[in-house]
Amino acid sequence: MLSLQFNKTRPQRMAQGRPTDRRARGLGLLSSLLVSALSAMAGGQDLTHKAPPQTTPISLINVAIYPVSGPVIERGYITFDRGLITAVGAGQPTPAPQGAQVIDGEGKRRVYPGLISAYTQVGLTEIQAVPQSIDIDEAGSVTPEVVAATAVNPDSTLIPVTRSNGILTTVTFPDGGMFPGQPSVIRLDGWTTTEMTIRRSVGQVLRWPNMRTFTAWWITDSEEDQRKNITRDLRVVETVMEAARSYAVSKSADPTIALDLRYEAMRGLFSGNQSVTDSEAVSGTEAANGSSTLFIHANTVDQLHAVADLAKRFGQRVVVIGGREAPLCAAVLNELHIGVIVLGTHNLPVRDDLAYDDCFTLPLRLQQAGIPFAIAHSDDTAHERNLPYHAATAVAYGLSPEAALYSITLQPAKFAGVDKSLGSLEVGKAATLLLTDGDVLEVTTKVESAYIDGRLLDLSNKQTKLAEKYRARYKQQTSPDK
Amino acid sequence: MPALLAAMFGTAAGQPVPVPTVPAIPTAASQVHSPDVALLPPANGMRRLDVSWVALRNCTVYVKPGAEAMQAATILVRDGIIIAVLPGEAVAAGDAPAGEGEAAKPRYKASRVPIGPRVIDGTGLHVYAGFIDACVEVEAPAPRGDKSQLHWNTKVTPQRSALDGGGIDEATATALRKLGFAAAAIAPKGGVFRGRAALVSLAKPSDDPSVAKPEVYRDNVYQFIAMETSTGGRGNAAMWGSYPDSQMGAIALIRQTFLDGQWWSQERERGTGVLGVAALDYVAPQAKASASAENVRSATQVYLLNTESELDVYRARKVADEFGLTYMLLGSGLEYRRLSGVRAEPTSTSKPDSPVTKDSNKDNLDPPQSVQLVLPLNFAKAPDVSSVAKQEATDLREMMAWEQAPTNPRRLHDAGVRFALTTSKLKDRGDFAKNLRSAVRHGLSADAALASLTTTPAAWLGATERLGTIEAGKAANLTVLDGPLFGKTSEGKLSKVRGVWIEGKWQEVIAAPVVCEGIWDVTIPADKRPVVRRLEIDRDNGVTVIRDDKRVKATQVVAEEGRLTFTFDHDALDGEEGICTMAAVVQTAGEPSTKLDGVAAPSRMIGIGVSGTGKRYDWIATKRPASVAGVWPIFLDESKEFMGSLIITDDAEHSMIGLAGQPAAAVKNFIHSGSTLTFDIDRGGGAADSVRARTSSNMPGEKRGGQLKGVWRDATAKETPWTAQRREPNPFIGSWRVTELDGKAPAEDAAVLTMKVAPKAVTLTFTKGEDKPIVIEANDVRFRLGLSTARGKSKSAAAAARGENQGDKDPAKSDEVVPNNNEADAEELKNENQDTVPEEAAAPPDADGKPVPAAAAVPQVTAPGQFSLRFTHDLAKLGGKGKSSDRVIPEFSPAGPQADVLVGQGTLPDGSVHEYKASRLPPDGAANSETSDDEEPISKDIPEKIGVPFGAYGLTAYPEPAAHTIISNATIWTCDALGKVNTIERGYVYLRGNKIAMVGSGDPSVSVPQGERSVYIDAKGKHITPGIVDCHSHTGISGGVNEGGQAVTAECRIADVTNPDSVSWYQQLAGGVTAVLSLHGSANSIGGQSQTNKIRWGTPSPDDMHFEGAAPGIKFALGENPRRANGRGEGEAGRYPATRMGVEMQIRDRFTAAKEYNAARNLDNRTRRDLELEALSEVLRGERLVHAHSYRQDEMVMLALVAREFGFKIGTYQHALEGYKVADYVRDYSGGASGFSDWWAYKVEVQDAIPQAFSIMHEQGVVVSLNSDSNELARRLNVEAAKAVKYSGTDPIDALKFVTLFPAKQLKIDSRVGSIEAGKDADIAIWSGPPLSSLSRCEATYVDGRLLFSIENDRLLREETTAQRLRLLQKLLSEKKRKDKSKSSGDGGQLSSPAKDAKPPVDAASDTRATSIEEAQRAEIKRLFIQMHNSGVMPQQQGDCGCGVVHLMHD
Repeated sequence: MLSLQFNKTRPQRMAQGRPTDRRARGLGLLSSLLVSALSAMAGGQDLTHKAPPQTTPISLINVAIYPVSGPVIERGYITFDRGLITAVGAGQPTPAPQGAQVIDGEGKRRVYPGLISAYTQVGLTEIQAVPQSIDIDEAGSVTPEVVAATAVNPDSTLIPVTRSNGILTTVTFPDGGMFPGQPSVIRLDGWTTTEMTIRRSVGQVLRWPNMRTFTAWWITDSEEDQRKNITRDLRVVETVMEAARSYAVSKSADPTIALDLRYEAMRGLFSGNQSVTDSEAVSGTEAANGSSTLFIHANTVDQLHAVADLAKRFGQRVVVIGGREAPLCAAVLNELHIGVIVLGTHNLPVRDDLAYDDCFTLPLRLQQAGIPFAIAHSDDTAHERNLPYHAATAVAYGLSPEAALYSITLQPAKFAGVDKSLGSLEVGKAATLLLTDGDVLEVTTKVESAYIDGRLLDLSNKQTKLAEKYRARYKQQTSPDK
Repeated sequence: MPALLAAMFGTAAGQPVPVPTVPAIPTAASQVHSPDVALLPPANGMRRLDVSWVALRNCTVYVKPGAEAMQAATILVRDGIIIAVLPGEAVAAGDAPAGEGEAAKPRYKASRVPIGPRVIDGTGLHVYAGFIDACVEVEAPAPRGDKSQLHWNTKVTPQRSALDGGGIDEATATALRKLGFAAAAIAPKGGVFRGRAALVSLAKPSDDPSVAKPEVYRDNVYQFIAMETSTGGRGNAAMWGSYPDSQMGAIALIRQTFLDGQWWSQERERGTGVLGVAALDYVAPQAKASASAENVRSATQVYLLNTESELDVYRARKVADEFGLTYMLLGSGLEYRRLSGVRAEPTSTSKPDSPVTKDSNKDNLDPPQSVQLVLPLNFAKAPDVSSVAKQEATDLREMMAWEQAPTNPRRLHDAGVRFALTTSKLKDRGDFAKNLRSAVRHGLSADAALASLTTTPAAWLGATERLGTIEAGKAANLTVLDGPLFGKTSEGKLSKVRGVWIEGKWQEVIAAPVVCEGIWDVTIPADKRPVVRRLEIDRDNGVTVIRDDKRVKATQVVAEEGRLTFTFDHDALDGEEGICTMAAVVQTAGEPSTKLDGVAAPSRMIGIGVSGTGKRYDWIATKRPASVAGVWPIFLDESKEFMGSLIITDDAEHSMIGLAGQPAAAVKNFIHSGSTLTFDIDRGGGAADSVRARTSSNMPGEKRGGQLKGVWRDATAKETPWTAQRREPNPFIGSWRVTELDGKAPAEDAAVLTMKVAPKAVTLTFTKGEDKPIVIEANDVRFRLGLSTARGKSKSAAAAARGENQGDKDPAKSDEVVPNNNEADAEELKNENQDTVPEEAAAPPDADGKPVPAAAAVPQVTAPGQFSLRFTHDLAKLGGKGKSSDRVIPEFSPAGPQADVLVGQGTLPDGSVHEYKASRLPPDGAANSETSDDEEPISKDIPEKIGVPFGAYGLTAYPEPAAHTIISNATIWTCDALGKVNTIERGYVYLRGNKIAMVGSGDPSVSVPQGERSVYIDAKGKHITPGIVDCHSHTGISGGVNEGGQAVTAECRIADVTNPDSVSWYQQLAGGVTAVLSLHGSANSIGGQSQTNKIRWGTPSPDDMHFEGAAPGIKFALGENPRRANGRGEGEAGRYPATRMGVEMQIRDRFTAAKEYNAARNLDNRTRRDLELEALSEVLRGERLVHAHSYRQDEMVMLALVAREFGFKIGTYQHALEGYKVADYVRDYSGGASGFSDWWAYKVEVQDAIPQAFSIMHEQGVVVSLNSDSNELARRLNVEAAKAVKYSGTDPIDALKFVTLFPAKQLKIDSRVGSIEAGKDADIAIWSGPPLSSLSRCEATYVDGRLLFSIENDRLLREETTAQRLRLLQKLLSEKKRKDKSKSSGDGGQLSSPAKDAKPPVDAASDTRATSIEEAQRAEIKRLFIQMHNSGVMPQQQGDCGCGVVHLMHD
């Protein structure tokens, strides 16, 4: 028996804060109703300083280097200057970099490229239960015009906590409706949104309609009504895509036709060119590259087949988000070069009769099926720092450590079209990297330092400060007040 | 009804009925026998004094289950009471062949029924005692009256009676009568204590108020109780439903109410308490002294407790036994999943008595240890697996439920559980008959089924004296079918209920159609010719008019009430212009009495015809007697022994084959006159048996169907009754599989040869492994059906055996059907058969299909070997050359006429001969003509053993611990309490039975005894830890984790609703978890009682999960959740408390009350027991641990101060994410803190949560543990512990203790678990690498020394799961194929509106219309759930319970 309990809340509020891919950890939508007085308290209040630009070359020596793009260098060096990697190699750097700050890893440290969160709401989200702090869901189900980068809060408390565990770049997604808007590639340090934005628009998101009828106690519609709704939703997808294509083609042929910001935002999907909003507003160290991508939330076989059909008809570059049953659809997906962003391994099997490790082995099964995949997660955004452990669990259940690392570095960079500058340790790429005291997939490993574009980050955060503060309480304590 | 009434009054009176004795019958009909006569109005017009004296004769009567059917019996009924049941004879007097048997039948001369009763012919009808439904829920109004006498909770209405309202509504009664029910126990719908049930007649009430109402056989047959909850969010409380809104709340309410009942009755005895009759009087035990209560209660109150699942059985029984109730259970249909629940001894020492007052008539079959079950037949419907996506969405359990559901009654019966059937809980009551039939086909004996419909409910409902059997003196409640219950009619159709007699009144269900089926010879008196045309009328009254060789299909056929009219195109038939109209009255000439259903087998029609030109003529048609040609396997009625098959041809040549000791015998002196047959069987040597028989009415004209009932009289004049059903005459038809070749079984890897034989084709299929099967169509297929008799005879003998009608004119038919008509082969055959039966010359039947009289010749009897099938097949496809010619003969099985084994002989071109044997394969669905459309074929592959829990990963046996298990060579993280040992490298653990016997390092053989029964495990490179203890879990809690209906719910017990079936338990074992604290949610400042559990996956009883001797606990909650900060909607009153300040006062108030209660109880133990305050008293006495959900430091300090003041120590702070700010308070006032490693920022009160929190507290001497609060996270607690190392540098062994020893200490189970030390429970986990590594995985988990998870066992379980999935998917797909095929008349049964059906019954009070806000919420939630479901995040996530959010508890 299933039981549902829910609050009496106003529907318009419920429409906000959909923890769609997040654990229903007892917070989620209904508890997201707090009186507005609390919203100030729940906003970002990061007091750590932003990192200053790199002024001198830095060379990390006697370190193990995990370049991701190539074999591990057991003992080597990496040098970076003005934000870019200038040298990587085994042994000692020759000649020693001029005027460089040299940091000796003493053979115990490892260097990894900064981890990339392939799918997250970091920057748009603060406290799950406070709707005023959740900025992910625009009104209406078709809002392709909105862009995540616009609303990334540089002072979110979540950002320092996230990056202190090595996640230095995120692909931040709006979410909620059917076409919720444009994801952006964000560096997790910067004074303003412009400084933080790596790629303002990566493409579009489409939340593929559910295609199954359900019979459960919480379903009140008849099967027939459900089918009608499914058909209706699928028709909306079809209609929007057709209209957008029609607009893109017409606008190219006749630039004088009226500008529609919605379809303009989708032009990149069809022309291979950047849309206006995309090309105009790119900032940071890197211009947007590659054509825009359609990210589609889809999990079940019927959804994935429909997605493939759409990709084929509209000629899209498609990345699937979720992809729970993607290994079953390998032939179809591979034909169209569709990759998958796995939403975490720390999930429960959807059916009781599935293997207990069904979600743990999804990355492995995708790999065996030849489907490129990145690993993200479906926890609360606040728990973004646990991203590497989702990959680690896949390793515990059979995936190679190399593939796991790839899935949280270079593969997400590829999906987001930023792999020319991010995702691996190669000369010419951004010096966005981290120094650890062990395997980055191990929970017990500590990130000792991290750089974004060569800038040394402050890895402290609200939590470390609270810990210090209260440890101090006990130091000064003589006897508790009783 | 007119036909029936006409039939009843028309000709019946005065007909003699043979009876031996007739009891004295009062001559004056006493119409008025109802006690309520004084309450009825006088007749307003004519009195209605219907004749109520009836003799139903010639029917087959089953007086009670297990008793032999009485053939041709007569039931005498007067004034609604059975007067006598008189045995009859297989052959009635009037039909007995002249000169035979009269003298030998003295009983025929018995006295006759005096003139009087209306006599109704029940030939062909089967009569059972009227069925009784033991539970039909009816609407009953809420109790009214003085408020002081009502219970505070509107769901507690034991005083209500099902008779308070309109009783049973006519629509339900009609539906029940259709199913054969004559009586039902009606029970009030809705509520927890729902009220009193009454056993009532289902007779249709008269529209005349002066006529007595239908009987109430017995009032107050039981009190109906259900663990019903309000629907969430609809009650008066701000966000929760009204109390109870959880199953544990409902159980708590039941328990408190029974306690109150006891107290109430005690108060009455003391002379205190309330005057008048109040609700509690109806649950008070044995209210001896109270006169007022005496009036309304019967001597022993029987309870019927509703169950909705196999687990509810344990829950209901636990409560019932606790209060020593006399009870029955209303089942769920799922009992087969845990039979121990219904079979086992009650949990408490007090054993329930028989539920009814001692019934002298009751047989003693009732096993005392079995529960008494009122069993519904609500079978799960087949899941839709028609696409890959749908298959992926279908869980194995769903498919298993579909397959196994019909086995439930049989399994219960085999387990010795008695049950009474009920139609309740079926979405569509009409499915009851179909489902019951299915249950019987799945192995439930017909007698057991009948008992569960008649004698059992009669006994349990205390009505044995009036109902349940067909015996003199009982109510004339009779269920009448047109064939045996669960069997088929003489026409081979499934038996149907024709109607029910209730209180001696006929309540028709199906009016039998006018069946004029047959061939009618039409004469027109004006015309001189004997026969001018024929009418062929099929079963559906389709009429074909035939003249010579012309056939015209008649149109506008109307057949009703003994009249037949139709029109046909006159031109096409007679060359006359226009349309001819014919109309006739159908007569049943020669039948002495009326049929029950008003229709005797018609034999004559008289009518007029009008031609297109206006010419009128009279016509008369007479029916030809139905052909009895065919194969009739004869079985003796008593011994069920097979006597042989009678082969009747349409010639005068008949034979008997398969006769014991005489394979074939001639049939002589065959006389077929109307409905009787007589003949002799030539035994050879002058000996002959004489046989006589009677045909069933409406003998079909087909080759199958129809029934003969007869008496076999052997040479010693011994007479034995027998029955025969006409069968498929061709024994070869069907599918066969070759099982033996040249005397040997085929090799494992050899090709599998199957042979499919259709009437005109043989298909051979060779299948080898995965290869594509080779299919060969055989040529020159010829059957010899072994029926021909002698040289020079007509060949139509064989035609008869094939069932061809007389009208069959195909001259090509010979006794060997040669579809290819190959002359050469025919010649060959002729030669081959020369030595057995010479081929005969064909004598074609005449134009009208009448056989030409046979030439006189000595019949030569054929042997069974004369059945043969011959064919040839090409060898090319098999890589050979030429053809193989095969001849196949059947090996008749002694049990019946249909061969189950064929013996074949194949001759290859080179002359070599191969012999083979083939056995019959089960018919493949639709191909089987014996199976009716609505009957699925029963496959033999239904697993008999069902694992526990039901579904994937269930165990068919709960594993026993090995006597000695020695796991060596591993790194052991002992987590020992003293902290002396960190890890033991290359160590061993020795488990003896369910305990850890020894832990050490090095070679265990030095110190561990060697034994044969020892299990040695080399765990080189592995790590061993104590089983993980999760100090905050909501896994496996049925029916709601929160009871939100009251502000304080200390009386609720998680232990009452333990669900051992959640697959999450198994998944957690796979993460090394062995013990958990199962907590109530956090909806209330003082919540329900917690339960510490061990994960004993596969254990039979739910309560076996409970950790023996663990300290009792209770959930408290502080902060946002109990003040419902996250859920208070606008305009809602809001329940106290709404602030943290209020939370404190709520808790103080209750502890104060508990103190006072304690004092009062100590002073006077007659003080009313209050389970809520009792639980809090236990807290005050230090006997129950408070587990306080808390986040902020202020609230934690608050509770510490309250606890100090009331003098108890808090068990644990749960969550305690700000505990690091007040570690000193936590340390000094509680047993520790338990929470998340690194969760934060999900709500306002957790903004300051930090991952260093528990390490900081640990540093300050707090006992800390990390917990999951989540089915998912629970699987990875070892890695959660590693975060203490990461963020605070905590010592790894201490970090591991955060999830082993420390939670065990907090739960006061550390003397048993939490570390690996000699003497502790053998609860351990084995890991592939260091337990704190995110790259390690759990490889094995022991609980009590039982290996409940291991990678190897898991692999086997997965394989089994996959195999079962595949099998069931295939089965479902083929089932669907069969259904689609047979679905022609639009069987919309599955498509009934789920919106309407899916809703569980809700009580009237809470079934208020949902507001639009709620609708919107539901829509939103649904959307979310679907999304989450699809993305795999759901549905078992529970999380931080009680926050008032969308919670999906997978139960």
